[in-house]
Amino acid sequence: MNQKVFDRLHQEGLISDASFANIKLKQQHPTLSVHWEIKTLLYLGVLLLSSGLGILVYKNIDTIGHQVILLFIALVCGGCFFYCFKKKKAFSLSQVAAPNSLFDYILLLACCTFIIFIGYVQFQYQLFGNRYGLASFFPMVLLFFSAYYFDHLGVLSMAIVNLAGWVGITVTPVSVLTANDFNNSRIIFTGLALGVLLIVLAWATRNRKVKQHFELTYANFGTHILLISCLAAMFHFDSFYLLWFLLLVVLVYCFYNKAMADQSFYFILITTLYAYIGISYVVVELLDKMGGFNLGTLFVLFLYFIISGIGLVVFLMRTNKKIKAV
Amino acid sequence: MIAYSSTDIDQLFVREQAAVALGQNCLQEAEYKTILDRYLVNFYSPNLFIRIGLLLLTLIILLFSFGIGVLLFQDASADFFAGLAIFFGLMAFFALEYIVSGKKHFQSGVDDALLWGAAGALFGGISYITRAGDIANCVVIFIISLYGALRFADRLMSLAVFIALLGIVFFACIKPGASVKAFMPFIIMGVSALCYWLVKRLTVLTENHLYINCLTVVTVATMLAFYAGGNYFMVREFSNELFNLQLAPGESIPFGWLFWVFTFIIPAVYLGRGIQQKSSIKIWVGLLLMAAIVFTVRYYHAILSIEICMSLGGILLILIAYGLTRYLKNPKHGFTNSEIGSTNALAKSQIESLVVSSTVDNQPADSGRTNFGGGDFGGGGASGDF
Repeated sequence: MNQKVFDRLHQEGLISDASFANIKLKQQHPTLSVHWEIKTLLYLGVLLLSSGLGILVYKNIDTIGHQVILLFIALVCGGCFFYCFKKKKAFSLSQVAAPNSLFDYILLLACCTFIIFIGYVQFQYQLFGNRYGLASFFPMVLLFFSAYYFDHLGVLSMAIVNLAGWVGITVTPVSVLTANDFNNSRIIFTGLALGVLLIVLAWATRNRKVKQHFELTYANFGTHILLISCLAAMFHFDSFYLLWFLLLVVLVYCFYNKAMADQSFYFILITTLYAYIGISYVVVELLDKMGGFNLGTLFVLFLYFIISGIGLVVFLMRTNKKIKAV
Repeated sequence: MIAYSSTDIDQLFVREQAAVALGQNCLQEAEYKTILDRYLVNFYSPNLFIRIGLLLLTLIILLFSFGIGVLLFQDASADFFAGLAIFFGLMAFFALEYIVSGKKHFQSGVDDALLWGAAGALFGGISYITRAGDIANCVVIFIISLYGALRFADRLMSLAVFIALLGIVFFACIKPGASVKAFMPFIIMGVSALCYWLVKRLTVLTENHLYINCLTVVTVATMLAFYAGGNYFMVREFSNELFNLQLAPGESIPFGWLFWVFTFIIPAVYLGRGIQQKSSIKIWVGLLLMAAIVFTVRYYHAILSIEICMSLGGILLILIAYGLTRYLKNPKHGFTNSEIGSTNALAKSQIESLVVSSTVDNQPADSGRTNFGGGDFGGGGASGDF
């Protein structure tokens, strides 16, 4: 806090003497919150420990030590879950705050070690035989259960990533575009179905009043997966691309209206950008059909990007105004 | 000097300060409201996400506008296009001035994109036409970014100013020969320390917060550069390269012990000073450089295998965090574990959950049809070949 600013405000009579004295006191004895520093340390600790254990157990397969390591992982996992069950607050369908600042991370560690444990047991002892689906199904169920039972958004997004993995696609935010082969129609249809499922879950979460704060997480994953799959379908099935474009327009229209109703700038931005990619693809395709690429069409294309860019800038600025006016 | 209306920036600063005071429970809600009513800001500064969108779109517009120019003169020489880039950059600067003074844009995404686009085009054009060498390139960047930083108070530009300055010093010291080169680490550290001191003086001196964010960015950069100058890894690998030492693995450099001392001491000093002065910036930089110590040591001495290191480090971090949580159960020595002035906790937890889902290695053993998570730490089952 800048003392001069408050001196001025006090002189102008905008701040009462009591508040001014309060501010002065705070300035002489400032309090620094290390909340996020501690959280970051904890998170890094959990990340390092679970990754380290994960590598450790795979590197030591076929040695005497690996059962000790396995036991250690099981103990960590069990201990963490035990802690969570002991400390948790009563279950409720609305949001439940964590009982203390460690709780969320202990639960995260429990879930991570559980996944490692199941993965290892499957790898070494073929617990589920060749039914690989089961090996990812069990952790997924546990993750969803933990997310709801202990009320943890991070575990919920882990569960969603696992659900996607179970049906065969990668949806982690960093690698959704690079790790999937969107030239494969099975992946595209799986993505579409998964996106619809997540959107429905988001809708149900809000309407049935079951952990309403989970809606955003479902909607975020769902919107991205659905729109990316729809764009991928447009690129892949190029003989019907206008049909898919139509679907994209309908979806974007719905998402946009929803975003306006929720006043969510984030969803407005992403739906706008996905729509822009779709429209630009159609323009490129049409120009290609009209006689391939030569200097003339390139001119038209570049002009299209400039004009549409300006148009979208105006559109976003107006939307911003509209939401702020509400 | 600054393009934005300084009264508006002043008013904005007062509003931000009032918000901080409100967050610390030093201000009544009604007082805050009256301050907001009294201190109005005329800027056009949209929501963060709209800003990102406007930034992307403006960059697209700039790119294709330049593309049209290229199409028009497609048979011209490369020098001509460099000239075109300079012209284009100047035009973008004019557009920026208009957007800022006429349309009152302030950190709207449009002004950011125009500034970066203009500076980039101008630099590219000048650098190509003059066939500039290392030092000349750094000088051009220094001048352009200094202008951008002073006129538009842009953080990225301020960072570029400092990096360009380091570049000038670095290349100037390589030229004269071995006698100067040998002092490179100390020169880099000296320049960084000097800049740190200068920035600190400026922060206190001006007292006008017009550039406060820029100065903060440069402060962090000087602290990092000071450490990089003395870090054993940086010094050894750089001098190996510069002097053509052809060090064998395990061989050390002259005065290697000194740089090991720097490697360990500097982060500890940052962290200590940060705690002493209650400066969260120094604490963060100190913590970050703690990781740099670990990487430096592990690069030369394989004390433990990587997975043991990770596991033990993880346990250690969890224990430290646990200890701190217990210790700060009630605020002590001006530190607290509770959040101060938290706004929008739900948004923060949403972001946190996204971080979790993209860093935790979370895919179980599977048939291999998916890749295994996207985290930086390819953990359990990441071999992917089974």
